[in-house]
Amino acid sequence: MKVQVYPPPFAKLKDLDEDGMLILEAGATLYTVYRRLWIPLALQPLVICNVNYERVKMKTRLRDGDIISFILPLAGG
Amino acid sequence: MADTQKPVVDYALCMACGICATECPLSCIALRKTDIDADPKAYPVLDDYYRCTGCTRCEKACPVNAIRMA
Amino acid sequence: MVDLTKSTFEEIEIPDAIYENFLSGVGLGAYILYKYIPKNAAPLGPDNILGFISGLLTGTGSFMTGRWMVVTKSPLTGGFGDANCGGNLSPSIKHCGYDGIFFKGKSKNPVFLFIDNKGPQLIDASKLWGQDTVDTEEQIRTMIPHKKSLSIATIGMAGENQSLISGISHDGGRMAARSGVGAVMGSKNLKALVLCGSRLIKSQNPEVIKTISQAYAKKVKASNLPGMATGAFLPIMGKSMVATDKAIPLDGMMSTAIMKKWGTGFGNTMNMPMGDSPVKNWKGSVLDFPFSKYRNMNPDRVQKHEIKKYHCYSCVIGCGGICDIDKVTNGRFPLTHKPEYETVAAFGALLLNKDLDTIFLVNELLNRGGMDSISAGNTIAFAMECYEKGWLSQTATGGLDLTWGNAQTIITLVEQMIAGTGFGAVLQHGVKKASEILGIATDSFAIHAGGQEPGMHDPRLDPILGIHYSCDPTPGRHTIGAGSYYTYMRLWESVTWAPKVKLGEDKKEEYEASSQVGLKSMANACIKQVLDGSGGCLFGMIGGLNHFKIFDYLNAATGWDKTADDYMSIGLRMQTLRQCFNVREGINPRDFKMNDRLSGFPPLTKGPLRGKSFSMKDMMSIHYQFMGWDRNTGIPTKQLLEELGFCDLDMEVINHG
Repeated sequence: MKVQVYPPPFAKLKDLDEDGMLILEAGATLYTVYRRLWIPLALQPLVICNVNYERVKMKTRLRDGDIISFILPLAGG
Repeated sequence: MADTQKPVVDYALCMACGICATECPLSCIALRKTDIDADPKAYPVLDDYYRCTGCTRCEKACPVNAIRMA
Repeated sequence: MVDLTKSTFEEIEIPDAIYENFLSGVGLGAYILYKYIPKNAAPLGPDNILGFISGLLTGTGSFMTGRWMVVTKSPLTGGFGDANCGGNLSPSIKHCGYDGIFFKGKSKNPVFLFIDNKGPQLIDASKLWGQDTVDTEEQIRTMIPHKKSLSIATIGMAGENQSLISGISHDGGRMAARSGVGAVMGSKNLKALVLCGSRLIKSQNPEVIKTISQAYAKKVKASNLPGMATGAFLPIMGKSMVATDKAIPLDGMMSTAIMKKWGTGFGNTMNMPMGDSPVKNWKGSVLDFPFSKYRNMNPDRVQKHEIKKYHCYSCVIGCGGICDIDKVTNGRFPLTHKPEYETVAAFGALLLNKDLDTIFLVNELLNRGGMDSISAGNTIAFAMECYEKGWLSQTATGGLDLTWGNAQTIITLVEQMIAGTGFGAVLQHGVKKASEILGIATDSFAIHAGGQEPGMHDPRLDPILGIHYSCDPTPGRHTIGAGSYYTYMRLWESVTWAPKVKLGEDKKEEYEASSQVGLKSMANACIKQVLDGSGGCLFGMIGGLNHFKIFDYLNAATGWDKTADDYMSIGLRMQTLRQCFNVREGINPRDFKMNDRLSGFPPLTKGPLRGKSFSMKDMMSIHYQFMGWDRNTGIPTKQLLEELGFCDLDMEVINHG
């Protein structure tokens, strides 16, 4: 199964392809994504993660085509 | 005109975009800080109940259908 | 069209073909300006035209499309001038039954224009002349009691004095500030525009629009930051963003969440360690203004004063706010609009000023006086550098001590600039004029692009931003485009030719004048014109066009069946028309090149941007080439004009002979 990931800047990106797609085995949860991106435990409370633009629990099972987005700022104003 | 239907805002849908307040030909709807959200958002409130003629323009204008006439 | 000399009104029917070719907004404005302003008209003379235009999508039930545009020939750059602003004036223009209101001529006495359902009339405004913007609005409201609340756009004292960096204020301090539009309004003796129509605005497919709006609203509503994400978190984010050299395409919806919480103020601290905020008149780095100082600008501290959010018309984000500043100004002013990032950066880091209370006061002073905060900040920074270098003595400044970060001087100087008195008379027309008046060799540090002072984002961090500072017909704008904007809006999902930003792409490539950069900057310029034509907000666009579906909105509202590519060529056409206007007015597009300091010559030696530089000349060439303009001169080529169908539009386009 494939999900779209918008990663935070400090994540390790080697598992993602150039479109930001991540291939997961069936039954993966949000926690799996955190692990695959190597998001440090200390930073986990600081990162806000939405699945399909809704807040979900870490244990939620992901489905094919889900959009996982991490919160990030931008330059503007 | 006691029977006229007045707009009622469903705050679960309302985005506080202010379209209704601008659309109202008599400016009966005010944008005011309420306790609905944690943010100090200014949500629309029917400010002048008696001036409102129930013209339904706010209902038609609302992009998220958060206003019903009741 | 209002003729102020003769006090007459004329309604002009615009053919549908114009809307289909140029949309409304800036496109319509450019068309009118091109057609009705005589060649080489004086910007502050009676021949110039000042137009207030709503967006094509305004009032159709679409979100994030409530901005109104001011167009005129700019007295600051001598070329095309436009500025846009939120609030609720844009739908009010349409409620009066017009798409735009244009002024020409010059009134003998101060007047304001009042339009309601019965039609337009000019009313004497001698009593209002000399009042600040907030007082003017209050007095007009008492002068004209009306059941519907009035939408008012007005100039302050700076506009009346024809300061070249003055803007037009609306709703107590929302400003259409750039290009010196306030000076043009002042030169016409027009104090205000007062609207209160209540006609219906029609669109082709209101139901379709509602469906798009609802899907967008749902996503925005769900995007919230948790309470624990505080402002202290932002500098860390900023640092982590420069730590990596790889581009990461982000989900714009996440930026929307940040905007909802802090507004543009999140940049106050975040942009400091990133190097995006200019320091010490663009020559310093974060080391000159370290954490111990910039932490005062923490948006949470700004937020403490906020009493309610301010949403522009049809905005779902609500980045604005109303702040209570009674205490910090010692009872001088009760309320102000929340200072935007640009204001905080221009009067904070750029001047090494660490006092947030001053910024609140300066913000309200500028709002009331009707002056552009970016330009004002840049001008004071310029004066401070002159003073530091010893080219200005204390006697020349009228006893003011212009050392960096002197908060008291900054306040006095802003007051003087608005009133046009004392040393402020030298600075009130912006950096370019000030350096001319002072008559010293200041080319190396008079920071402007063709007269316009640049926004508070550093091109050394984002070279594509520099292209737009230099190549746009209205130079010095941080809102036209940037590499980061391009990454956030994900244009490649709808436009076929837009290059995709790949995950992990090297950011260093942006410093080379490659075809990739050319395509990106072209896409930025085109999409921004589509946005300005439809009244859209930049923050909606940065939030990602995969969420804010502007092309679908446009199709639904007009009943056209155009693809995203078609709209992009409309954008190109609008941009080209604006460039044609500049060329016709005798401007050499190459003269708009921004100051070399901004492209890293000489390069910085310290801070996150150390050693970063790029060749602005090559960057401009590549942008011109991709826009279809002449690579060397920046003049639109004959071939492009034919392709875009200018010949069929009954317009005399520039002569290439």
